[in-house]
Amino acid sequence: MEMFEIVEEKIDPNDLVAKVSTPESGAISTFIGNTRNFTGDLDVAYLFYEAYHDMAVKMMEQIGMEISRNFNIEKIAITHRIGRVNIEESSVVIAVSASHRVDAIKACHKAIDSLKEIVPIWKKEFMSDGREKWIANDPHWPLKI
Amino acid sequence: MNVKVLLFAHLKEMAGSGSLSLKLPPGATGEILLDELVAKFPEAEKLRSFLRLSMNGSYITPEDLIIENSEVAVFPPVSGGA
Repeated sequence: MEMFEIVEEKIDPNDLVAKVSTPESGAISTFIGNTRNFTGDLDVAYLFYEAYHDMAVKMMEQIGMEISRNFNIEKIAITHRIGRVNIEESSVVIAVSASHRVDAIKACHKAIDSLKEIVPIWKKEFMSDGREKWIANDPHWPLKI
Repeated sequence: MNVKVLLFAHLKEMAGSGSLSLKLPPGATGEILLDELVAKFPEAEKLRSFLRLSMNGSYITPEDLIIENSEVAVFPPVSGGA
């Protein structure tokens, strides 16, 4: 069972919940990141994701190790989808199990923040008006639509 | 030395390919690799200060030495998640 995965097909959050469930887990926290239909004032048609596969999996494993070190959790699983992701479909799902809810919720929050910072995956926005733009998580990135 | 460089996202589109081979002097750093890349693709100049480097799947800085036969990648700031 892979706890950190890049996939091309739709993600079922229940699969990740099952992966992290243990008899000791009183809490399972999940984060589901979906494609929404707008960015700023623009209408988004769909998103497209590209990954540096091997490094992305390695960085997700690293996040898992750091989370396990810093929070009192049982298990963590992360799946990121690549390719086209339509409105209301999920690009990323994270599940964290812990004995107690606060640990699970805090660890899950930290995991998505770290993923957005270091995992080499890129998002391209395709607008309803036909325009498209690669997104870079840097407020000073010079390329605008 | 010849180094195979992987490119991603905007940079890959700009170069028209996801990988290329760069000839670097022995002892070259990430900075020198970026020099060569920009010389090849002048359009990348305006992105240069934002680009990230990795070697064998770990982040490196422009000061780090490039090791022959390693897998180097250059890419824009990441934007995974939703």
